[in-house]
Amino acid sequence: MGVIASTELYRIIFQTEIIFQMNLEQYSVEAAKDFLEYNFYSEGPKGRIKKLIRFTKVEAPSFTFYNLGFGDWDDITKTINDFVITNNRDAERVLATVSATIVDFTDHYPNAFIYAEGSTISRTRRYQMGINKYWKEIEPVFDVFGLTENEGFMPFEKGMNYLAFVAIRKKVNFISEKMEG
Amino acid sequence: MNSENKQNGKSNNPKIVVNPNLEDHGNDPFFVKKAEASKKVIEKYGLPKQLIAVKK
Repeated sequence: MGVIASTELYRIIFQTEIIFQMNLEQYSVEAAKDFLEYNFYSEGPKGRIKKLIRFTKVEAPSFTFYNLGFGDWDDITKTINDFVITNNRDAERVLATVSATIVDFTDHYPNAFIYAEGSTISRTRRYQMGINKYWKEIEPVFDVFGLTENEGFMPFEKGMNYLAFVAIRKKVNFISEKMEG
Repeated sequence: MNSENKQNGKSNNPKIVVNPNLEDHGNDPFFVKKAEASKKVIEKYGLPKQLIAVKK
């Protein structure tokens, strides 16, 4: 029981460490009680824009995964849009906030496969650049795979271009190494 | 696949606060269509072999 408690404690500390190591400011976020949906407000020159993040459970024939959906909430039309260019000059902070929700979601669904794809090629590329930039912090925590047309899903490599990504939280077998180190 | 929610009711991240009344958009066409599209991709390419090995 003590071992489990220590493991859990370390996992919490490590998560915080990820955010600190990335040295990224993030927005305050609201989470649904089932941790499948999150929202936050982007703030900048274009005003206060509500962002929604949803991890949708998808049943495939032999397995289940979660699609990461992300978009802007339009309070007039009551719809979600992921093609709009917000231009609120906070792209890095938004990306850090979405990343924090992925870590949080996988805290509660540690065995979940997550599928993520940008709404456009350039947005997928932006996700890829984010993964590239913080790969040193991401790699110990997540197994990440990138999709290419010819090869399918392959282990993520910096410098490659991908169409989509799949990630899963690594098992915490690195804990003993980290604690001993 | 076992991907249970641990349901401890709170986040480990101090910047994330649970709102029990948060509006649920699980049936919103936006998210439904995105999920359907992702399913087609996964069905076409399959999961990474390495990922399946990790799960075992």
